[in-house]
Formats: sequence, C-alpha cells, structure tokens
Amino acid sequence: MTVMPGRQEDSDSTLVAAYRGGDQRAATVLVARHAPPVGRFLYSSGAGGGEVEDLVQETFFRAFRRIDSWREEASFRTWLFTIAGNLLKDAYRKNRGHKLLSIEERDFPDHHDPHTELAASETEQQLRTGLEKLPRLQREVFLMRVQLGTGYDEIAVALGTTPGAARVHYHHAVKRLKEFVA
Amino acid sequence: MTCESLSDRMPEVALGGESFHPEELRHLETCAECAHEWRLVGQASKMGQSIQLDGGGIAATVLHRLATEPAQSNSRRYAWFTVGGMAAAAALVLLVLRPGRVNHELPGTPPPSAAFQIPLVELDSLNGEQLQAVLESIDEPLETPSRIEAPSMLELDDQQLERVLRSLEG
Repeated sequence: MTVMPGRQEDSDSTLVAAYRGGDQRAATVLVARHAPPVGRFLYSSGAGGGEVEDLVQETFFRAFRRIDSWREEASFRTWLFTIAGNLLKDAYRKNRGHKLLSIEERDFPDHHDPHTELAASETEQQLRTGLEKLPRLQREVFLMRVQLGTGYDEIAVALGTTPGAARVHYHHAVKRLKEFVA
Repeated sequence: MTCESLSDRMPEVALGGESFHPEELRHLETCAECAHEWRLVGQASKMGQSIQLDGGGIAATVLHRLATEPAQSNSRRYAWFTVGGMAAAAALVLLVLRPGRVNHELPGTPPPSAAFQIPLVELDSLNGEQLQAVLESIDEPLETPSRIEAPSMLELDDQQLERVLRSLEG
C-alpha cells in the first residue's frame, strides 16, 4: 500500500487532527497502520476469514464518521477495537442471536479457501473456539491484553469498566481458555 | 514472584516489549500451569497474523463511502423523534376521543383506572339497564332512534337537579 512520504512517522493524534482538517491522506495512513491488528482482532473474535476485510472496512467507516468522539482517553487502536467489538455485537443481534460468524461451520481448515488455508492450525482453531465461547467482555479484555498489550486502565476506559474488573475478566478468560487449548 | 504476577507480565513479553527475568524463566520450567498459560498467550498474541488485507482498497472504499453516504445527523434524528412523538400523541388523543371505542374493547379488558374516570354526575341516578342502553347508543348512528330511557328533568328531585347543574357548569 502506498502512503504519502512523511506521514508514516506521524502519531495517531497528528493524523486524526489532519483528517479532521480535511486531509484524506491521513486517513489512508491510519488505515494502513491499524487495519492488520483490527483484522486480527475480528478474526480472533470469531469473524470468518472471508468476512474480515468487510468488517475492517465497516470498522474504519464508523470510526471516521464519528471521529470527533475519539478523545484520546484510550489509544486510537484500542478505540478501533471497541468499534469492531460493537460491530460484531450488532451483527450477532441482527442475526437474532444466531452466530453470524460461526467458527465451527465456516473456519476450520479448508484448503480451497486461501484465507483459512493461511491461518489454520489446530491450536489456533482450538483457541478461536474457546474465544467464541467466552462472554464478550472477557474476550475483548483478553484480546486487547494479548494482541495490543493494552494496560488494564486503558481497557477499563475503552470498555466502560474498572481496571480491577478488567483484570478479573482477563484472568477468568485465561482460566477458561486453558480448558480449550492443550 | 508469584504465578499471578508472572501471568500479568506475559502479554508484554509475548508482544516483544519486555522479556522474562531469569527467575521467571526458572519458574516456567517447573510450573506446568504457568507454562500452559504462556503457550496460550503466545499463540493468542500471534493469532491471525497470516490474514492478508488490502489496506489500500479498504482505505479507498472507506473514503468513497464517507464522501457518498450521507451522515444521519443528530438534528435529523431529533426531527424524526419529534415527528414520531407527535404522531404517537395524536394517535393517543384520537383513541381517547373516538366515539364508540367502549364497545370495541376486547373481552377481558381491565377497567380504566380511577385516574381516568370522568365524573358524570347525571349518570349516577341511572340503573344498570339504563347505563347499558347509554353505552350501546354511543355506537349507533345518529339517525337511529335512541333507546335510552333518559329520565326527564321533571322526574328529578331538587337534589338530583342540583347535581346535574353542577356537572354542566363544571
């Protein structure tokens, strides 16, 4: 992906300010920087390999549309994770409680699907299955911790809970995931 | 060092921002639970890394959508809310004022609460049959002769007349 020289080193805050000022190149840099981790978060949360790109796109669309609501209480990436989590929740509700993105039915290794072919491993599938069975808050806290390294204080702000509760959610998630992953 | 403190540090180490101390490494060799957790966290931190995304395509599509799909502003949402609220209020008024609604109530409909009862003193003197006739007549077209056997004013005593007058004058 081509980005404008000089922009890659800019902080998220600088890029967001530039985008608010009408610089669309700043949005392009933000997408290039954050799309991969957002995609991994969605995939780890249960999105099918073929659906991840659409969901990433929708996440950024929602983020830029309400860019003024990012007030830097949490990092831009953590904020994107929160939007992506809400997106999955909405998809689940629209599907009337049925898993829109069923891991079991759609994402076990399928050598005709290039996305899953690349991603599949037995342990990873066990982990994804376990993650799907976690309560939403536990799953999101766990993924924010292990994929972003986000601290409990920031997770608490992003997910509307307390740092102590976030820590408890993390350890509950680990305990339950141990039952799924050998 | 405890299992819990080691557990709290695992994500940072898995992401490469920190590294284990010698004491922690020794603990991982002897504690099966922590070793299990470390494998889990390490796997989760790398999960989905092989997914390939077309970042340029995503950015282009998002920017195109932002330019072409109109935002639903708060004022527009508020306007719909206001219109909806007014429509609901109007429907409620029509429901209350609509003639003949009494007979359209479903069987088993609970009686209106006392708070919504309008005192009609002139009905107090009517017996059950007369009240039923009043209720039935509400639904009848105006040209249909009324079956109400309303008591003539002449038949009322002074006290009853006073009550009728008070009810008419408010």
